[in-house]
Amino acid sequence: MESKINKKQAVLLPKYFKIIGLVVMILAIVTAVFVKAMNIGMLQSQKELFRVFTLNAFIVGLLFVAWSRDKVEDEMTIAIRLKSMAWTFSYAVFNVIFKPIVDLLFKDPIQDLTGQQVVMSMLFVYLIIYYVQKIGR
Amino acid sequence: MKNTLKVERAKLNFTQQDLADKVGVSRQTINSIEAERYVPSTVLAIKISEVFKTAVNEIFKLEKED
Repeated sequence: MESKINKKQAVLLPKYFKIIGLVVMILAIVTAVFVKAMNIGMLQSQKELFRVFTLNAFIVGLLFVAWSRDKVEDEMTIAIRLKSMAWTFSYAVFNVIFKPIVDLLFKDPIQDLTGQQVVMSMLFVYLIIYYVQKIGR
Repeated sequence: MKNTLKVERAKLNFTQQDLADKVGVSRQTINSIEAERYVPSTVLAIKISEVFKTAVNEIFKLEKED
């Protein structure tokens, strides 16, 4: 039974959102692979729209997985989530600062990070750190 | 912070899961508290002390470096 204090502290989605998120992610990947494999003819603007749509769907799926409750959500999982968020935030700052330097050393033009790239990598890093810490307990 | 959770559990013949169910946390949380990897909140410490009918400061004791 989850305590009243934890319910107030943790603003998370219900646990079935984990499955919804996974389904959305899989559908986004399958659709992208299918369109690529079938070599469906599309205009440049349609291709761009399709890319944005699938990428955004994948990010939404990741968000649902990351932000949904675990089977038992208690004060320790909240502490782990907080720690993971702190590490993820630091990662994002370092990523934004050091990526242009890495690009400068190994690629010629410095490529700007898109918001989608930053958000997606942050969600991945958050999930990895969260589950590594949880398994390690 | 040291604790005598394992001893108290043994006295009542409780498993970690039994205690976790009684105080409403996961078994991993109880395991982490016993291994001194996690310090419980005041609320959880009081819940645990109520299960064992023992004072909180008899189960959880401060160490010099705390």
